[in-house]
Amino acid sequence: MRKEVKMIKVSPWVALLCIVVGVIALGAGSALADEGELLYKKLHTFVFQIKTSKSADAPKLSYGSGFVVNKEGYLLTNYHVISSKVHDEDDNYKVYVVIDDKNYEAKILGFNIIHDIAVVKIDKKFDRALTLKREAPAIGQEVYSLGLPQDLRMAIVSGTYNGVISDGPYERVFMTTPINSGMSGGPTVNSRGEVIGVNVSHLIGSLNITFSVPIGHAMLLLQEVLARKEEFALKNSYALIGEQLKQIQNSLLKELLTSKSTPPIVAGWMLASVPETLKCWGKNTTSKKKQYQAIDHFCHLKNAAYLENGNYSGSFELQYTVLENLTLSSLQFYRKISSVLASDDGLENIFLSLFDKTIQSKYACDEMVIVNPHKISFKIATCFAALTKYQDLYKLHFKAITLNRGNSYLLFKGEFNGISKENSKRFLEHHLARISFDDDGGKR
Amino acid sequence: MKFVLKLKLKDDPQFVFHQHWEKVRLTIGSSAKNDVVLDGGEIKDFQAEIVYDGSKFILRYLDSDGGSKILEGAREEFFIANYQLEFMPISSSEQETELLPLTTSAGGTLSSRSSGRGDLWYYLDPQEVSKVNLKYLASYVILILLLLLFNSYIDAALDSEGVRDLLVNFLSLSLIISLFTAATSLVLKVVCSRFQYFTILHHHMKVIVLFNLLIVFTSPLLFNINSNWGMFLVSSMLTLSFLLFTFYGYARLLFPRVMKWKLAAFISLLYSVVLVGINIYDAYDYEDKNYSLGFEAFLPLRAYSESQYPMSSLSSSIEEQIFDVIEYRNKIIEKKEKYANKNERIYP
Repeated sequence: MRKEVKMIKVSPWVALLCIVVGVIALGAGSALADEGELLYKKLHTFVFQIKTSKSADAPKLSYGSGFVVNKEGYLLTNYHVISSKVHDEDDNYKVYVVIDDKNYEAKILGFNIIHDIAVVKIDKKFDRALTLKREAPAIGQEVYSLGLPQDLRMAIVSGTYNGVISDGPYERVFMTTPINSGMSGGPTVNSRGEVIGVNVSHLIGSLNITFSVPIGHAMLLLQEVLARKEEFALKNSYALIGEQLKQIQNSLLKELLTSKSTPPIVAGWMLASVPETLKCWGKNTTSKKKQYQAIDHFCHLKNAAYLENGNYSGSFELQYTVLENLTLSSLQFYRKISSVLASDDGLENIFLSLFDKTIQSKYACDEMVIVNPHKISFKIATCFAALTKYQDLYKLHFKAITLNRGNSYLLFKGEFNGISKENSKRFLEHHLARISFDDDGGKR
Repeated sequence: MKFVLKLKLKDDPQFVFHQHWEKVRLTIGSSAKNDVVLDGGEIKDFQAEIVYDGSKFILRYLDSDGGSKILEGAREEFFIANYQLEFMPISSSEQETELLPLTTSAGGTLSSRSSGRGDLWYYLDPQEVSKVNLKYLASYVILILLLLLFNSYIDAALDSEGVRDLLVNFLSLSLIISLFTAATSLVLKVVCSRFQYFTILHHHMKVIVLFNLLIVFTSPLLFNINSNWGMFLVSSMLTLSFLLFTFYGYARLLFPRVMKWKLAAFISLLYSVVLVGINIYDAYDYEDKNYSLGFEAFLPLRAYSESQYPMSSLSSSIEEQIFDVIEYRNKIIEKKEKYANKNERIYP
């Protein structure tokens, strides 16, 4: 069979329009490419590798990037790039800035673990420094990140600016520049080459979701460092980190205790309000033979503050699980709950897990049956471990289960890494006191 | 002169064992303490020997001041523990005809040997022992497997699971028990190769099995008792009785001469009391302060009988825990300071 080919007649005006649009588009692409090239040329001499090693020639313990923010030799980087030096109690390591294959020993002058930024200084003067720009670009504008990915060489990558995301005490610029390991601490700049952020992380598992620290936080730290008269003593760094961890939890607790959002109702259980800062997920699982169902409501804070050696603090997780009996007898349901609880990853495992004594003490736990103002009984188990280096900060694990609802049990559990004694009391009492059974089926 | 020793079980006269005896002197029993029952009368705490003087048997007490007693006639019967012993002189010609296989009710063949002191000492040939042990252990294992099957059935019924889960549960439990039994039988084979030991094991096996049976049958129910103290009491009672009988059995098994039933019972009772005491201490610790009993103690079903506290009590509980962890932290810091050098960071 012969295929009929239809010829489309195009008006000469339309053709001309297409050509014009095409030329403009090509021009824009070329302009973008030129922009990257120009920015690289303009900025790359102010961005360097920052490494931690035993000596200038010794192999690196860690590395990242940093950029010049002051002609006197001040550089900005991420706290996590130099954290191994902050925690280097035996003074085995030094921080170096690598400029033209020459290693300049750097002093740490200040850091902020909440925003993951640090200021270091080297004995070298620069002709000029990068410009820091507090005003954010418009959403959708092109931004660029510079740094030395994977210890290769200086690179510039582009993406779009998507605004600032606030996760409780944490604030991050949401962008799409592909940041790789080694670019941490490098600058994120707008199309004019002004620094709007400090490269910090990428979302694991995402295609191109990356973050930088809004430059405002770095400017505050820099001001603080420049205004400081006495020398920054690294030996006091644990006290400083402790203070910053307390700021994180105070901010979080404030949001948790004063949240005005509608209290969630999970399978008839009314819970305490959860602030929007926490991202929540839900899951409903029915057992194989439809004997019972588990309804999970899981909330957590996406961010956490990096401490050292892969350890984080300031994280928060909260989980509510309702187990509802469908067809089992009471005895069978009790047994099922027991087995579900026993197989649950919870407090029982923390005694078996090994812990690093330089990070935390062993756990002290307690359990008791308490009755909340809605006459609901809970069996609650709490476990605390003290963070070794930071005074009045603890790791809290808790698990509470309701006792007096025959066919519906609520399990409430969570973890808080880096919480004070008073805040843990306030948090637990607040949340347990607000749990009630929604007898009106959520109509209240 | 040769003699025939007829040995029969007092409880079961059908079992008659014959043994030839060539010595003119036979010591009854072999340790410092024997019960010799003579004509219904009981003589205790003496070691005795029987001597045949050519016309009559003479029973002599070997204690220095025990004296001796001339037994009447040329044929005497004694009762030692569960055995009736009958001595009779025979002529040499009768020897072959009187020699009978000594078959025990347990299925082994009795042999005899005499020590230098003339003790009569029965034992089973090692091969016979293993056969007999295997027979009893096999029956024991079969019984346990049956109990496990029943237990699995109850578990499956409570979990409302199907046949597949039942079988998986049963097979996994059976594997564990089989391994345990194999290990036990190995120990028994090495330790209990003597007849006396085995006899005792045989007697007590029934008791042990009975209590195993009780525990296996009741365990699914125990885990669902709706009270901490109810659970505690029942489990303590079971533990106590199980230990009592098991320990008694094994004690008699290992030290048959020393471990008379009263002593064995006393020791096992003492042991049980110590164990229950430890349980009580643990329970107290858990109620008061620690989470040391693990997750089992967290089961909601056991919580009804516990005291309930207002929300404000949580605060004091947290205070106590924090107090403890500060102690732990201080210990770590003290230890660190001990080995510190001048460059260390300050722990605030």
